[in-house]
Amino acid sequence: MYMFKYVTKRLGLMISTFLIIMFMCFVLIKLLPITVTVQMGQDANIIIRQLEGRGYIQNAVMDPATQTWSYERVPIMIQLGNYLNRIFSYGDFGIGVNIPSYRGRPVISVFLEKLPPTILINLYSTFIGVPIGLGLGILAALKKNKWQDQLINILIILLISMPSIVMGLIIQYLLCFKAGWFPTTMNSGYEYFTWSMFRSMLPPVLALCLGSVAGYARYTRAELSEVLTNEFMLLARTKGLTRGQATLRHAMRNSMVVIFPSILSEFIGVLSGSMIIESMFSVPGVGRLYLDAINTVDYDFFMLLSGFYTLVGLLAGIVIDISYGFIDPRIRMGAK
Amino acid sequence: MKKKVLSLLLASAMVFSMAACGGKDDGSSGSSEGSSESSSASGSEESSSSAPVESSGSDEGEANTPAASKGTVTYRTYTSVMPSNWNELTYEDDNDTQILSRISSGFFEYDFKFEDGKKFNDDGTVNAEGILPGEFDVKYSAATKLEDVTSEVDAKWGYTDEQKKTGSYAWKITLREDLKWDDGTPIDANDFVYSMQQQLDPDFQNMRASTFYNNIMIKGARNYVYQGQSVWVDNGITGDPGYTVADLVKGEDGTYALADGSAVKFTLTDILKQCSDYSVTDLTDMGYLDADAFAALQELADADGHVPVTDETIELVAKLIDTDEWGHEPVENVPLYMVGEVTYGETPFENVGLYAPSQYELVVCLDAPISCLKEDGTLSFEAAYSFASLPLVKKDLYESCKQAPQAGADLWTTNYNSSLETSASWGPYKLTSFQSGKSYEMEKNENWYGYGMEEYKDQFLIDKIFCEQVVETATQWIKFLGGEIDAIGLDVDHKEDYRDSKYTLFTPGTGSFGTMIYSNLDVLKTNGRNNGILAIEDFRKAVSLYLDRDDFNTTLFTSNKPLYGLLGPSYYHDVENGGVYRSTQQAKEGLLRVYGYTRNDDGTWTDGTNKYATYEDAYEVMNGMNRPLAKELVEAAYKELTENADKYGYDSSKKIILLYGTSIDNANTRRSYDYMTKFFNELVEGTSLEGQIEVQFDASFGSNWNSDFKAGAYDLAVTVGYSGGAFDPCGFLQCYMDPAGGLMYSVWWNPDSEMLTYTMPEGDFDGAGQEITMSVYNWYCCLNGLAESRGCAQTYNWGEGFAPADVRLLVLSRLEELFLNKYYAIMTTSEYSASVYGAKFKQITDEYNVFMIFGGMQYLRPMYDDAEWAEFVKANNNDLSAEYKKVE
Repeated sequence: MYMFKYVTKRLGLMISTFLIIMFMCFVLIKLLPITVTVQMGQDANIIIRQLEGRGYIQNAVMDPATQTWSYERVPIMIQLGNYLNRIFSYGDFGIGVNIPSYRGRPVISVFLEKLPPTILINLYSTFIGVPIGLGLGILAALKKNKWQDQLINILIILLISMPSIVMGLIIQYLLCFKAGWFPTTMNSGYEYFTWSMFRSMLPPVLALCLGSVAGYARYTRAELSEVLTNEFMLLARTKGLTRGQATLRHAMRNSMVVIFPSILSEFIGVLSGSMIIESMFSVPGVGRLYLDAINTVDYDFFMLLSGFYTLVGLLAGIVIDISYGFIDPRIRMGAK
Repeated sequence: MKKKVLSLLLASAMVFSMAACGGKDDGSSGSSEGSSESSSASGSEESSSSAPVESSGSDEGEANTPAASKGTVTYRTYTSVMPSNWNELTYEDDNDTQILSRISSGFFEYDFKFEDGKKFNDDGTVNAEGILPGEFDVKYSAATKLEDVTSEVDAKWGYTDEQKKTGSYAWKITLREDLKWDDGTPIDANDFVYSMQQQLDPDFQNMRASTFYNNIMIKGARNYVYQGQSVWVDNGITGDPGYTVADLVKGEDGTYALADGSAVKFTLTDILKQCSDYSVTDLTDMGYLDADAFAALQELADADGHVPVTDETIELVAKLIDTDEWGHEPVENVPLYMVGEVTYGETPFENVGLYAPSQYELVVCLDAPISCLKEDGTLSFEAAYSFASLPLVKKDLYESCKQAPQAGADLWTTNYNSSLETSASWGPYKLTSFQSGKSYEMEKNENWYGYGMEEYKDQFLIDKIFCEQVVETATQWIKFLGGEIDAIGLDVDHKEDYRDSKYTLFTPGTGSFGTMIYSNLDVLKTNGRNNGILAIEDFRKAVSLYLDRDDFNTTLFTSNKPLYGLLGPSYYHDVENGGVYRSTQQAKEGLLRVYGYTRNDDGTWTDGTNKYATYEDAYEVMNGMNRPLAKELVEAAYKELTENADKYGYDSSKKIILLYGTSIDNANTRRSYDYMTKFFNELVEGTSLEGQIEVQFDASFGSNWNSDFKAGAYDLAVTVGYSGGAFDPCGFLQCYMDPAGGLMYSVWWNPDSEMLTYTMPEGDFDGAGQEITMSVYNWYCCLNGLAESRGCAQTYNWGEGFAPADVRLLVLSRLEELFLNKYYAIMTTSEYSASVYGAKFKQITDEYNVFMIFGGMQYLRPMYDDAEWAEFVKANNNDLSAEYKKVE
């Protein structure tokens, strides 16, 4: 019951936080100056009327002597009302107006179209990275201070100290270009579950997961090394468990209190995509979208993406907190 | 269509900082950049690898013969920014034209000119060897006939007898009868009329509507788009004839209005604009303005600087402009300082000058004439340049794509031509796949009329075009060297390796860039940067004369070259005769004068030290520099600054800060900033200003960099400028002397108040032999045939085809010289791009042709089909770098 109350309370707080953040985002983005750039072949009057027509500005007047426009911003609260009205009445999150690749396209459909590659790349990265990372960490912990541990430590240092952009370049140059094992960029199309598509996703997956492998291995080694020296491990061995059984059933579970949330938070974090890796391998994901939305002041994209990532971040906090209780029964969230 | 694409090219660019498609120089870019895919393959010799190519060999004729492709031929390219909207009515930039240019056609189009007119060899292949370098032909494509019907159209279009006599205002286009959409739906003249109605629909405010009242000025088009809107229109620069006080009607409250009841007011900003760099205080101190009169007007002004027109204010304005310094402007000129509110009434589409008299005939009625036919009745270059096509949308599809306004908005939108499902083609290719943010593919449109025409035989040999978004330069190169894409722009990092490759070709562009110096004293003296010195012409001139443009471009770019004028070497002033503007005597002498050379009475030239027998000799050595004079000018500017410290807001205890503004902080902008810092330090070294100037960097301006510069938020906009249409150098002046165009960087300068007197040469044209004094703006309008439609005081028409090319050249060079002498823009850089073209394709010619580039997709010769190419790449161990590094 206390868990239910705890979750309910956290959800309530989450919703309030979400609403406050979204309100702030809306107001702040709308407070930014509205760019009116007129290029050759364009009519400033049309650009201004488009802004008026979209409900951003009103009472636009041009001074014919200076050719400059003055206008009033439509009150932000009215714009907010219209925005909410569109979402709740029509499920309309708006259209892109400033990001060159997505002008005139419904922001929700662009986002949903671009989310699967990002999620898949990161899922594959997690599926590959976690077992390898944990395995290396366990091996290093079990062989602490032996040559295997030293070797793994060297590998970890190498992988951790190498930025993902360098990792990506090395993979692209050696595996894609020189060896020709993989295509240089991800395949086009929406058939994500074919071998050809999977093969084309492997370079970005490797570029993403090798860094994570090092992180997981380092965490696991550190936690496991400490847990292995605890007295309950001695007890486990004395009650007849083999070293492997004691390590897997007792030591690992205790180590996971720290490791699992880091895996979870990393996975949730990667929903936002990796701007550099996606650009490098032409992954049609969401990596650049948020930055582009901010740089070009594309209101509807910005609000949708802000909402999504805020929600993901807040939910992740709750899930991670709750996960402690499952991993370690001694931890009871909300209990007094 | 082509006109629109070209006009789009005339776009503002900040070279260092904006995103771009591939295929160009240095990562330099701007909205003027195009996609790499506009180019084709290259290499004048066949590859030495084991290529199964039937046309290999060193013989040029053989080398230009395409492989008899057994299989599919795909042209693979990349873009940094995916197109999002290839709707002719609404497209926004070059990225969108990647698709648009292939799914649409033109009434008329350019073609190579062939020796003896022989386009095809006896075996039916294109006569590549017969291509005449630099020459061009204009041909009918989707149209079969063009007639000047100015004297025949209905009286309702209001052409005067003079206009009927001159002609070129109304044109009848006869369409081919086999035009079809890609699904086989026939196209006729009514489709063009429907499309124009949609283009101009005021509910949509379509981005490209302005093409048809700003560029191709179709009668009634502006009124149709603007209907229901009220705008303030300057009585000095307008599209309407000016009005006098007698034309106004006095109301009961003593306020005057226009005859139709519309409001009319004086505008103080207009009055101040006559005074360029000076503040109100300066002007009154100098006796330029009557202080009392101006103060009285200011009291009556509203927030926008508008003052009601009453007997009292008429008197005040008359008093204001009647001072000695002002030049005792006559009272008749008082209305020139008025603005009138114009409300565009409801306009039926029947009043727009485009209609279909029959199923396959279109008539277009224009406000400004376009000379589309030569005297012998053949098509002039203007036909394909200005009048290539009209917008066309597929009616049923377009109607289904209309989207009603969102809540809180009243703007209609459309998603026509923004996805595979909403696309329709009447061009040589059609879209077959599109993945947003990733790639698109096109295939031949079998319903295109051209495939049945003899004229297009042995052309369009590419079966498919595949374009992928590849943002990272490193990835682009890996794909190119791995044979996955077929051409790439040469960037700084690869310039040493591939600059001399036999696969590399250089293409001159029309981009003309320079350093814009903010010079509005009113703003400078109050901006807190202590840099009123920028308003002193001597200082700006010193900057120009000290700059080593050759070193500037070598240091900062891959292939761009020095530029000394507003216009680079790609502009043709006399298209029909191949006259390159920059190569003319007038243009060269203009630059010589700007950079301190003078002509002696005996016809020789001198730079003060050396003497040159001819202008050619002087021009040969001219590099834009005169460093001793530059130092003297710095001293002179310093003297002016310190002696009039109050006027310039100068505080000698503080450093002079010059703010280098840019849109982004990256290696290119930092390199440019470092260059400018070093430059200014060297400029003032050994002068009284040594150690007094500091250049600061600010990359916070983002996409507002243009408007922020105009507002004075920063002082130096480095390597910014425009790319224009190569055949329209006179129109390009819009960027520097047409306030109505909204493109001028130097917004503080008023070309409508700057007068220029010039004696026109004798000849058979309007104003021949006369000494003419009029404003710079008026000269610009006359030169572009806009004076009448813009209601200028003088309405000479020296537009293309209405005055001899050499006369237009004289005026153009005079205006260029006049603006350069302001030193608001220190021109530095002429655009050149370098691309490495893969071995899979070959252009029909390696000779750059401004009309046809290297022949484009139309003439691209495939040397391998897809399967053969894969074998070729494999045979090279998937690494073509060694091949592409080969020199001739």
